[in-house]
Amino acid sequence: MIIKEYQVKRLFKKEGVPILKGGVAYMPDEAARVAQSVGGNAWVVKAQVTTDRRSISHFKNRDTDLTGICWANTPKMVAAIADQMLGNRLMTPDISIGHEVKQVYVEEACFGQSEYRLSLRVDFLSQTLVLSVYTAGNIMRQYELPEFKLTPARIKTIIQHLGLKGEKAIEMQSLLKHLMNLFKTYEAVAVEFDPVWETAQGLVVLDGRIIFNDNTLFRLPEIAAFKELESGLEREFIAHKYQFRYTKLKGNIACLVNGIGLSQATIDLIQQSGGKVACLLDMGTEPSKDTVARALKLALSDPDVDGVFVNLFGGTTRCDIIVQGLLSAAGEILAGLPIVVRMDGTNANIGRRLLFESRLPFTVVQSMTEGVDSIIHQVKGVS
Amino acid sequence: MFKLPTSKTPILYQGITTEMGAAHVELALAYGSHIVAGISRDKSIKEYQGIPVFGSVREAVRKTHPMISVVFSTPARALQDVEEAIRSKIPIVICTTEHVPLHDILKMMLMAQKNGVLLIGPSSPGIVRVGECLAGSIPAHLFPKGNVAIIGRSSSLIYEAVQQLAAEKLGISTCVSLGASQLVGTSFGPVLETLLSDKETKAVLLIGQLTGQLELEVAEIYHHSRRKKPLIVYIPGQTLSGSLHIPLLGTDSANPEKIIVQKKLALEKAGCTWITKVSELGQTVASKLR
Repeated sequence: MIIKEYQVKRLFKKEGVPILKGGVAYMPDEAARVAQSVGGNAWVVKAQVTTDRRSISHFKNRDTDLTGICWANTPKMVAAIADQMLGNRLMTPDISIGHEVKQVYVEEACFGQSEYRLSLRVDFLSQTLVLSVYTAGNIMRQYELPEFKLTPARIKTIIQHLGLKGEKAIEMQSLLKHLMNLFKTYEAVAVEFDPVWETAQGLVVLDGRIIFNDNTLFRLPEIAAFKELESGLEREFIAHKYQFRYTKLKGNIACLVNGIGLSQATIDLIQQSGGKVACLLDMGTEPSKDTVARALKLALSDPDVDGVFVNLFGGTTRCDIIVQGLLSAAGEILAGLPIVVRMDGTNANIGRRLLFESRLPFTVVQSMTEGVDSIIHQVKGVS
Repeated sequence: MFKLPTSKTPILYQGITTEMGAAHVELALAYGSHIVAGISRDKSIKEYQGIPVFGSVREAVRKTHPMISVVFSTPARALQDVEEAIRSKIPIVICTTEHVPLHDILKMMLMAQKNGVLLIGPSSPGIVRVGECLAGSIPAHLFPKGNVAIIGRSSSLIYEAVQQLAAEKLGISTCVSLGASQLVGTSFGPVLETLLSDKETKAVLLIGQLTGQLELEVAEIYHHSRRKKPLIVYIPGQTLSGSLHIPLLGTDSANPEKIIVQKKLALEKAGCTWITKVSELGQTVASKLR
């Protein structure tokens, strides 16, 4: 899970990370008031979306040449920019429909230059903790921390590598400690200070990110609350609540599968056969009836979806239980999109019989290959 | 070192009276596994299904000397339960729990490494030596006996493979699932080395995962083995584009397409057979055994 800049900064502030003065606003006049209370004579207005490259991204309704991060010289100008941004969509490179802007962050303007970028993350390739330090000119040093600790000796080495002395060495030392504290406090997948500027007041963290591990949210209520706040993440939120995993992709076939390996293999087979997957709903190896029903409803509510492929393997889960879940979403099924079901394993025969007896318009197939061919053929008819 | 379990290998079930633990211990007993002890939080329970139940792993180890512990726990308690097993130096600990917090997995991994314990999982359904011993939650009733060994990450895909092998009239000798979390305890290495020298195994089917580098170690091991048994590898996620990946500083090399190509090249160079389509698992293994 990723959160927005204003939420990240709230956590940075709590930890004592040196950041600029600023605040969040939901309305244009509120943005002007934030500028006044921050003080100074120039501000930066930043569109709040959960992605980077904001400064090079434009808005969908392009009356202006505004990008996701803009400079303003008066509170009035802050309000005017906020007015353009709020409710608009920022068209960042990661997703074709862009991101809706619901808040802006207004911050005091800062003079200085970008010096460092710091990143501490669990590296899934090397299966360990990795600290990356970038210096101006994009030179990177990486440090593996197999003991999951940033020892004083290690910090000393890093500071020596950076050639820092005196006041600056102390500031860097404290930034590295904050980075590790945030990583541990929020049991993060990654914490980044990006960029860190050298200013008259010393080193300042201008922006950053924290990536959370969804499995940890049960003991981080403060962070879980951020998730509920964002109705833009509605689908992910429903998925989290009903214990399945939802991933949005760019095609028109929804895949309902139990288990991550089978999920990815199913996406592969569809895409290797010429289809495109709209979204993946991984219900886990042992989904409950309710999880299955919610996942199917969610798939059918996605406007990009022209058809659903259900691929199930009953191991310790019984296929007939899963079918009961599918059938309890019957109201939505009558909406008319094609649904192809392939199931095998424990109680698959009973499951298939239940589907036939329901008289609902499921296409029940015998193999994964047959199912993939069938759904690709059927969605061609829809779109 | 990974030693294949037999019908005589003593096994401990932690969380034996939890809903999942109770259900799976019954299946394992029926399968013929030698279950010597259970652990329950409920101190009043002294016995379950004829198995002595203890309040602590330490006590169970002292009295029954298990070689394997199977942990059934909740995401919140998994770390504590696994740590208890590792502290008692049980050689193989299988953690079946799904959705374990990432930092807890990091702690488990580190502790297992320091204590020389082979941690399988988390989110592993365990091990089955077909016809002899089931430790974990693998639906062993679906596994016909034969001479193909399966090592994998995600359980659902392993069961799919078993189905396809059965359709080719092939059976399974042993199946070990390492679990599908992004971080897991043991890598494929120790298990693969044992299976390559196992007399009952004529071919190994390995089902990998997009994330991590475990398959590169596999290529290395196979390259240095005598390569007498075919090793067939399938990795799901071959068509996933970069869009799934969260951009982080310094992770440019973590592009899925690049990872797949890198793994494929390394494995093929080592002499493994690479499978592109999941629908061809069964027939590829069959063709290698003919």
